[in-house]
Amino acid sequence: MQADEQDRPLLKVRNLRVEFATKSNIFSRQKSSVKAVDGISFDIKRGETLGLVGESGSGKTTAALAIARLLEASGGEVNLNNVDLLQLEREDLRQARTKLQFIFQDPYSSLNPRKRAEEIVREPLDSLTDFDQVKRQKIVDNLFDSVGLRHEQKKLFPHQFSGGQRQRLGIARALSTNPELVICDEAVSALDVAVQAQILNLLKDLQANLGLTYLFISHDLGVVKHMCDSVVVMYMGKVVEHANREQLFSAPKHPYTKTLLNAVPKLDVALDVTEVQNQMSKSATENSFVNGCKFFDRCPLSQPKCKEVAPELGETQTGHWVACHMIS
Amino acid sequence: MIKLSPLNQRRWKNFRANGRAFWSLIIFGVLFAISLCAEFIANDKPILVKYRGELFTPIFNFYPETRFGGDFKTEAVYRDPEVQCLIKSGGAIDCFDIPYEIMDEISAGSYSGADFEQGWLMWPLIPYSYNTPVDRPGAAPLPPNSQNLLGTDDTKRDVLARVIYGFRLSILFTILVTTLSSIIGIIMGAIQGFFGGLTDLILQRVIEIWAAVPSLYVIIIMFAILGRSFWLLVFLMILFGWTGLVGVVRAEFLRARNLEYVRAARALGVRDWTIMFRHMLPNAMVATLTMLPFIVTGTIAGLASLDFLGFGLPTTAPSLGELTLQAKQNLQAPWLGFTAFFTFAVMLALLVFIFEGVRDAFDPRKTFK
Repeated sequence: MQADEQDRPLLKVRNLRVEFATKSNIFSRQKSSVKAVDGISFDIKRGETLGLVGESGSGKTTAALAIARLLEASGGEVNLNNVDLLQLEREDLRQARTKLQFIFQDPYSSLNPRKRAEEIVREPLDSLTDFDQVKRQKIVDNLFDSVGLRHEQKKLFPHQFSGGQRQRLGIARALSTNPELVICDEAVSALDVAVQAQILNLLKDLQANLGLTYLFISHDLGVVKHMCDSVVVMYMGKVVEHANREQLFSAPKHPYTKTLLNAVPKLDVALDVTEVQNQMSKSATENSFVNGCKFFDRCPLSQPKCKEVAPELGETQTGHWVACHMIS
Repeated sequence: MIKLSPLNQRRWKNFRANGRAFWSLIIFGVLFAISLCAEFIANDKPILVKYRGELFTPIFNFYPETRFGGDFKTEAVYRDPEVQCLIKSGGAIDCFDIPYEIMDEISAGSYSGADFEQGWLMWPLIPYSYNTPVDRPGAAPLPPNSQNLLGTDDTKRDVLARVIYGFRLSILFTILVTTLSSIIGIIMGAIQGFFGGLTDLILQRVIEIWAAVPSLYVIIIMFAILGRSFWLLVFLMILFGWTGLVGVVRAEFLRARNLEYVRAARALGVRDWTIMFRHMLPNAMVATLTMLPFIVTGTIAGLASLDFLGFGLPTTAPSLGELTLQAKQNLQAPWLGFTAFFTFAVMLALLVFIFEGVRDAFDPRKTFK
């Protein structure tokens, strides 16, 4: 029984789609839309961290916003504890947010400049729980301890904190309702590298102590390698590769993943900058309406078939899924 | 004394540092306080009367003339020499024939009638109310002299008394209309900006139509049907005035609803209403405050222009607009025009300076310098 509970995924995303309508032509009734997220599916097990990576515009943040219902999805299913979040109505959705919290990218703009640190952290408690004042205050105190902020900082305003401290506030706020799933949307990319390491370690410690599950969105592969148990690579709204960390970083299969890993600057290897630039320079938006593989015109392996038929996500070996005609 | 939050303390310090705004507030406060006590400054009834050892307060209470030994059961007309004589002499019968002589004798100390007991009347600084006809020979409007410091208008009423009462009426009217229409406007703008989409589209069209209704005609027609009154005018001005702030608040909310911390609040499960009025409104307040002086001055001007056209408050009401109309009709009496002009100029300038200071004090870029 206990084992079943552990094995069952906490979050199940099935065929999630988000489309944005573009301006329709006056002369035709046909409406066109941009598929920002085009049918993605993945599971996250309890207590694990799933990384969602991809370049800017690949739809990873859009997917996260749609999962948290901050943006309306066009279709699909998002099951958290076997409850489909996409079907919930206003008040139920608000209550469901106790179990699903969000850490935002920019610690400067995501904190209300007119609220004090303790008010910011207490806010989810005020609106989602009916604890009394004393209990709320105690929870806030504990959160300040666990994210490494001092109690005398409770009365300060956000602008009086440094970037790293602000992100700690954001984390404390997200943890205040004791959530199961925390979505970290580029949670460290606005911070400098030394502070990034502190925040990442804090997140890991909190995960170990509180049994949290993370959906970790990042474009920084180094960070993902440090944080995640498994990784989903997105390109143009589609999942191109899904594997656990070891498999993905040691033996990437999809040509896009390979390019992405090659594009990470390394100190010991002289990087052929022009080659990477050539591969990456072509616009990623121009071909969004082609039928075939979206990576077709940037792919070193591309064949005529790739232009006609979109590749399905297939399991090449246990737990390693790739969407490419040339691999599977 | 309410303890201000540190943020508001800082705002207050910023406001004080702005000398023009601070002194404008003090001058305006003093003027408004004075006008609030208008009954004790300009009135045709004495503040205090002593008659046969007893004290009377005619401003608060009704006393018939018979109370002071007169003949009528109506309220004593304290401006009549006969009534004054009766009070001062303690009810001498001769007062009905030779009041001036008796009063002269009393002040000289040589009066010695039967049953004499000296009384007195304490008058306000200006012994006229806004509707008291001045007892002065000549054709109205009469020029200023020691009796009427700003002259009289064309129905022989004291201009200074009318300005004091008119100032109070204008300000109270404006406070009422601005407060209520701002509250409605802010709520409507907030709803539109926060929910956006179809709500915004429909409400925006409704407001466009509503704002296009010629409000002046509606006010004139309603006055013709229901009769002129202060409260009807307040109601109608709010009815057509609340659209003024909607645009600004809506724009601020449309901007703010995509701000990261508003999105964060939604992600954290904060209620819509709380997000609107706890997170977004305080940050939209600066823009709202920027608009407020225009609404305040607009309301004052709106009331004045209605009165100027003769469609405003009842003609007996002390109105600065009506004074302006009289000035136009009596160009030979420049004291009317000058008084109206300077009253408006001082009132509007003070208000604009004050709001300018308030706006700067609320500006976070200046507050957190």
